[in-house]
Amino acid sequence: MSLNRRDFLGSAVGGTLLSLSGGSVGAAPIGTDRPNILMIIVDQMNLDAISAYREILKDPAYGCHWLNTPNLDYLVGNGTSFIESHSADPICCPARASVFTGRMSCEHGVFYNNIGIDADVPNLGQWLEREAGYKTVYCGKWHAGGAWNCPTISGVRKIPGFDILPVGSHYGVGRTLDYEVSTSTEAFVRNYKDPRPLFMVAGLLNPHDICFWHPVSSRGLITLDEDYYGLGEALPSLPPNQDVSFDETGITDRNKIDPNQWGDMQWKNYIHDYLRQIEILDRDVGRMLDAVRARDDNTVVIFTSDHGDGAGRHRRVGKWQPYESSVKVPLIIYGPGVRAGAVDQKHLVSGVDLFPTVCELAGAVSPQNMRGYSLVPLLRGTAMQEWRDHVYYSFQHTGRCIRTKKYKYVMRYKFSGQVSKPPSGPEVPDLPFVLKEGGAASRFVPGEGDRFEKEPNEFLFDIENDPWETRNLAGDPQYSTVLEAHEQLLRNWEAMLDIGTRHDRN
Amino acid sequence: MSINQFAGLRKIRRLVESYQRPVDKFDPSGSWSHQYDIYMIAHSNFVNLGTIRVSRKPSKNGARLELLTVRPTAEPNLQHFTQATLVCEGNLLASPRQWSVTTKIAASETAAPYFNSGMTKTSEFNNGQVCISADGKTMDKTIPLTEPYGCKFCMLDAVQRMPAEKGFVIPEFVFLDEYDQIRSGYRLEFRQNTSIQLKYETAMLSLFTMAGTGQIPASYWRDATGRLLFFVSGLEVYVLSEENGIPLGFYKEPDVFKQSAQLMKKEGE
Repeated sequence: MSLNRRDFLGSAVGGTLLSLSGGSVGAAPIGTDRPNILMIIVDQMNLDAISAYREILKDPAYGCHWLNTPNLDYLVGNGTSFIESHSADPICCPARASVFTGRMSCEHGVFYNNIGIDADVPNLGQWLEREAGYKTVYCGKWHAGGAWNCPTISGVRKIPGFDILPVGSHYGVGRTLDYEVSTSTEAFVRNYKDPRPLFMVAGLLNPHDICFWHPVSSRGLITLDEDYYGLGEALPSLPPNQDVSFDETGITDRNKIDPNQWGDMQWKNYIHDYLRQIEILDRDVGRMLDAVRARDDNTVVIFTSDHGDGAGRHRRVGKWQPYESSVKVPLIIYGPGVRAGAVDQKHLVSGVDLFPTVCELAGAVSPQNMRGYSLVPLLRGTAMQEWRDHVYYSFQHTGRCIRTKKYKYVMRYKFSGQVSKPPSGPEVPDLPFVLKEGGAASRFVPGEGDRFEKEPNEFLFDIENDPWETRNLAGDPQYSTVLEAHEQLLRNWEAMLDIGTRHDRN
Repeated sequence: MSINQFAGLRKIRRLVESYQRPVDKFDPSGSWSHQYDIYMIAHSNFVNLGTIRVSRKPSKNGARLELLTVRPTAEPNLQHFTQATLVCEGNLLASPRQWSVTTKIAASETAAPYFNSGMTKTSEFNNGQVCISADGKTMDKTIPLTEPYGCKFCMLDAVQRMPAEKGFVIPEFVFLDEYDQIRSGYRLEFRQNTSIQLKYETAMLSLFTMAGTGQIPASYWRDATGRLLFFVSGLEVYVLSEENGIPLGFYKEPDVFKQSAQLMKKEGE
């Protein structure tokens, strides 16, 4: 079983019940027909930016109406994809570490960018190599721990458990270097003849390049305030939730662009160029799909992103926010035995589900304490009695969310104090990065007066009726019962977590 | 006109104002070799990400292009190579009819690929479709390809012969990004001729812009002979750095973008 009993019981508290179909989860014996697995993980791509979703996400403000992604459309049309797919922690390193460990940020220790994964927590490469005899290869952006993007063949930037194709976004830009990743992956997949099944990861950086459209890094030269290129009607419409009235205290200001800085034309150009970058990554995906199709074998393809982008919603760019634009990520799985053309709008899924999913596909037992569940029953379309009724994610160090189908509950303790000098500790080698938000990287102690506000700021959104998150219902007495129920879900979930050595919880 | 009025060029103003054009005559329809430095703007820095060399030889119906792109990898002793040979039509877009592309991670252009990273794809256009094969044995796919069509790197050649005339536009064409992925909805137009200050001269340059599916809007800047000097698209910048093996001088330090931003700000004050 990929779930241990404590996980199962813990998640059952507070009305959540997970019941998986018999025999669909667990280890298949090694030596059976185990598939090759190609996982493509991109950076900062919104779930709604796939043209195949136009009929599902009908609001013209969604990205799907403003771009063409034929290769992702192919995956959607021939695989199973998930509309309720969530990042486990919407910023690069924590999200990626959760994908590659199946654990939450406070467990694997990567609760902020540029911190390494706790050495006691195995990654997917190590696990599949050891437990299932897979050949494991990594190409492109990793950034799941450590202050570097792309791995090297050996040394401190070698990813444990993987052989390395050392190309990609090591300078922090995806355009031109993502081509290295897609062609090298394409070649490797085409050339692969080893008798061992292959688990290969291709990490594309785009559409992360859009980060450099931010007013600070663009210095007024990248994001245009006019329709300079005569794009006209090709410029997208603006999201309906640019201006909201609720208090956003506690959510980072870094990615909020003031109306005095950017007007409508800058936002239109920003969104336009962001969607073009997704079309570019679609071409990289197409190249790798060509290799998979040429093999014509049992290769499974998994496509996902670490987090999304603000894309103008709430006047935000970038990630790291609890909003849907930042948290919802594409997740598509394609291959033999996977339902074709199934767009799952029902089941709440999370980045932490990928580890147990890959394990089950590979016929390996998952490690203990997985926080996600194998998606294989959903991919096969086998009988599912029930599925989880909420997902959890963390954000911005102290932020936590519970997302049910109807509501999203968000809480965050705003940092309020000062740290005079960087704390030292061998287990957190890149601590100065953490200090941007206020330090104390080795400890998370909500309410510890001089560092964090004692009371969290809370949001409650009715996602069903307010999908653009424009009304915070947290202070509305009508919703006090709903709020309490979600707070309880959060407490129950967090009580189950095995907090890593870098965190305390009170 | 001030360089700051041009969305592409103003990002590299510091470089442009230090740029020394080749002194030799140039015939874009003849035989020549151009090497471009590839830069990306990242974290406000101007980062060199390799080179692309385009060598052209005219033929009866068009030209043969040899291209070599060399990009860095995460390992100092390895690079990523893309070597391409294209037989192109003599039309406006220099549409490739047959092409072969080899990619690999390797220690040098002639070294064996590192760790199964090498492959060759060949493509041929016939009767409205392109057939792509890999490593000479697998007929991978056949895709409809509507004319007119161009190719990202053939444009480094083709744009040099386009008429710099008011009203010139290719309103819709198909595009091969890199060499194998096809997208429609491209548009290229001549925008204007304008005087731009280079290091030792004020040169009359011609601006063409291009947009399309999967294309961050782009600017091509050529001189009066047709010679393509700069290509700018979003964060991506190509600068002509060698002609026929002769290197060209220009400021290429990592602060090009920051200095250009300062120059714009200063002019605005």
